[in-house]
This record gives sequence, structure tokens and C-alpha cells, in this order.
Amino acid sequence: MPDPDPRDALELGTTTGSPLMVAATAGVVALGLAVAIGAGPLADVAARVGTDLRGGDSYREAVLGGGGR
Amino acid sequence: MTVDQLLVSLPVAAPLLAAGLSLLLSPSPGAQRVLAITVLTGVLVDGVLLLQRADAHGPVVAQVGGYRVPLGITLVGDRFSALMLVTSTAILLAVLVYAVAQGSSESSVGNVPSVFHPSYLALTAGTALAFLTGDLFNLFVGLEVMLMASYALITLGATRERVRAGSTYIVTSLLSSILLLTAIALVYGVTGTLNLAQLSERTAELPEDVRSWLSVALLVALSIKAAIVPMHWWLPESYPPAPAPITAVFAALLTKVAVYAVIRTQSLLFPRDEPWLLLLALAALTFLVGSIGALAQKNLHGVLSFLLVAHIGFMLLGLGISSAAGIAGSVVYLVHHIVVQAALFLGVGLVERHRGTASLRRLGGLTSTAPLLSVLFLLPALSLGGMPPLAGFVAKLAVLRAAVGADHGLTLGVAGVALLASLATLALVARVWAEASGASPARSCPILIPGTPSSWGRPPAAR
Repeated sequence: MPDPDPRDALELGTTTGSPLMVAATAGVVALGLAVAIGAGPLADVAARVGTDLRGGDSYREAVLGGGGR
Repeated sequence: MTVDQLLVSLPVAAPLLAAGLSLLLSPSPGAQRVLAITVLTGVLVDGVLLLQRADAHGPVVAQVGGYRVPLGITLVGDRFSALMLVTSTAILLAVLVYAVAQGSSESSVGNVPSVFHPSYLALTAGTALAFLTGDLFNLFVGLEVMLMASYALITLGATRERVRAGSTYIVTSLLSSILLLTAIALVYGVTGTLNLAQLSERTAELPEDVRSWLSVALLVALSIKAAIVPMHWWLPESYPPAPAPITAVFAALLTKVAVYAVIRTQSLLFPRDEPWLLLLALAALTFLVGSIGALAQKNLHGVLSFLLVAHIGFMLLGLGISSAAGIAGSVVYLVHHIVVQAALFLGVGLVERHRGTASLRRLGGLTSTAPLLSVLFLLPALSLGGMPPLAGFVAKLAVLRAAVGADHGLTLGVAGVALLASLATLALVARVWAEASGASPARSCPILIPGTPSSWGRPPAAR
């Protein structure tokens, strides 16, 4: 039974994928680097998230009090 | 409808409507591609605006249909959900571009319409709903929409291997869904509501033992979806056979949406003042089993699948510490893990395309024949291992500082196990790099030529 998996139709060491595939991967890698570069602001937002989740007051107030903005 | 309500509703409604439209457009793959990329870009912009609003002015709330709590569907865009929405949509967009370039999106077989784009858009809608919903039942619905789309995506191409792996994945997902629905029914039976804000008030009034049982029931039900040890068995079995972009989006998002649900439900409904021993024990177990499993693997898919499991432990550790700093550490780790897992699995897809296999023993010479691919794999791999100054280091530092700050024997012990898991990850990265820097594989290894009988089955090393 033939296996139509396109990955099988490759000759060893001859293809590196299209430039767009490489660019998309590079974009995600760059996003990872951006997370490191923007670690300060991210940590600040995460700290506020931690405080929000521990207390839960802002969440309850937004949903139950006043019916939301 | 106000601008705020539009901001919080659009990430769910737009991809869902686009999924239906995309199905109608199946005779025209080009139009499907344009539609999907446009919608995901729109959702990403929406997410960024929502995050800005929520960070500056507090949670943005929409009561769908105008029904009051608890009757209607409540959507809540707070800092946590908006941050997750932005991160996940950025990854979904990048993976979509990769999939379009690879041709995974051209899945039409005979007269069967292409289901990739409609499924992918439905997956996007389900992810957004799981993040933004303000009630437990729609959290379940969001997870199910996401999973139903994933069932179609994981079996795309319908090779025997994929259908077998997909069967394991589907059966396990259905089992976890039944457990989650049961847990939600228990919560409703005890409290009379499923709205998270109302639940957070009512669970506080419950007897301690009832609260504990409900908390554990939700944790167990979500732990299968989050691949927390010992409920992780399905993941290393299910992900490897799928196409690279599908594996990347699953690894990056599916387990993390469940981890998000664990953090959201446990911190909001069952806040604790002391470290949660059960979660800390599960974190330690997850670190150990994931790391040992990864060390035993012989191909990149296996290594990454087990490392994915191992690093879920960091998010559990942060939550288990039960402090604001611990939860903040989990949130930073969640963002880092979504990005790094997507990058690694996409990188492996490129390596496999280059080599025809993901076997560690066949990586020799990769750094010289494909230096760009090597770097694209090495950077996220080092980040996963926690190498400074990459994002993984920042995320690990946030969790470990919280563990030390808790000044509790068990959190310190689990932090030690976490360090060992990081060392194991770095050792694996070094091993992969050493293989990739070594001599080229012997020419006796299978050489796959289009249209030859070799395409009857993948070489054993590629499995």
C-alpha cells in the first residue's frame, strides 16, 4: 500500500524547504528573541496578572459589578 | 455594541464565521489562504488592542446577546487572557504561513474539499474562546471546538501511521472531555452556577473538603489535556506522525490552553495561602518523567515531545507555589513555552525535509550543509534549556525566584528537580548539536527518490 506522505518524496540532503517556510520559522525564532529582549515589560505585565489572579477582585468587579464596560 | 465588546467578541466570532466561508471557498485554495491569513492578522491586531485596554483600564467584558449573568455567554478580556490571545495568534499566523508554503494546506483528495483552512480557523476560534470565556461551560466548549478541529488536522493526509496516532489522540481527548464535563457538572451541582466570577464568590463559602474535591476534580480532568504526568501518555505517541506545522501548533497551543485553564480555575476559584503540595508533587513527577523519557529518545520528534511534557512542570511549580510571584512566573513561562515549542517543531520540520528523517543518528553534517537551519534549531533549543540571556532563562528565573521566595521546603526541593530537568535539556541540546556537527551519515542510509518504491513506507529511522 503506497504511503502518500509527501515527506517521503525527498532525496536525502537535497531540499531545505521553501524560503517562506524558513522565513516563518525565523519569524517564530525572532519572536522568541523578542520575548527575551522585552523580558522587563513582559515580567511587569505577568506580575500584574499574578496579582489579579491571586485577588480576583478586578475580575469579579468587571463581570458582576456594573455589568461590564 | 461598543468598541470594547467588539474587541472581546471578534477573536471568537471572526474565525468561526471565516471557517464556514472557507469551506464554501474550497474550490479556490488561493482564496482560502487569503481569507485565513487576513482573519488571523485581524485577530492578532485585535488581541494587541485588547491587551492594551485591559492593561490600562482593567478587564473588558461582553455579555453575548445582552443576557445578564449567569444566563448569557460572558466573554472577559483581562490581562491574562489577552496576553495568551496575542501570543497564540502570533504563533497560529506564523504556522499558517509555514503550512501554506509547505503545501499542507492543499489537502484536497479527489472530491473531498480541502479541510485544512476551515479546520485551522475553527481551531483559532476555539483557542480564542477558551482564553476569553468567563464561564466554565464555555471553557469546555472552547476546548472541544479546538479539539474537533485538531482531530481533522492530525489525520490530514490519512496515512496509516497518522490515523493510528490520531486514534490514540482522539480516544484520549474524548476521555478527558468526559472527565471535564463530569467535573463541571459537579461544580454546578454544588454551587448552582458556572460563571467564573460568581463561582469565585460561591466556592469561598463551601466547606474546605468540598472545595478540595472540586479543585482536584477539575485538575485531574484538565491534566490529561495539559499532559501532566501521569496523564501524559498520549502525547509522545500522538504528535510525531503529524505534519510539521500541525505538530508545531499542537505542541505550542493545545497543552498550553489546558495549562491556562488550570491556572485560571485554580487561582480564581480555589485560591490558596500555602503551597499546594499535590501540584508541587505533580510538577516534580512531570520534570522527572519528561526528562528521563527525552533522554531515551532516538529521534528529534520523540525528544521534543518528552521535553514538552517535562517543561509543563515549570508552569505547575509556579502555580503550586500559590503566590502572586509564582503565578507571574507561570505566565512568563507559558508565553515562552508557546513560542519556543512552535519554533522547535517548525525547525524539526525543516531538518526532516532536508534529511528525510528526524533520527538523531542521521543528523551528521547538518551544521555544514544547512547552517541556517542549524541556527534556527539551536537558538530555541538553547532557550528551552534556559541558556542566558534567552527567554527560557528569564522564564525559569521567574519561577525559581518565586520558589525560593516561598521559603518552603517542598518548593525548594521541586526547584532543585527543575534545575536538574534544565540540565537534562541542555545535555540533550549538546547531544543533538554534537550529532549535527559530526560527519555526514553513511551513504548506506535510505536515499529517498520521488516516485520510487521507497515511498511505500518511511524508513525505520524516520518513524
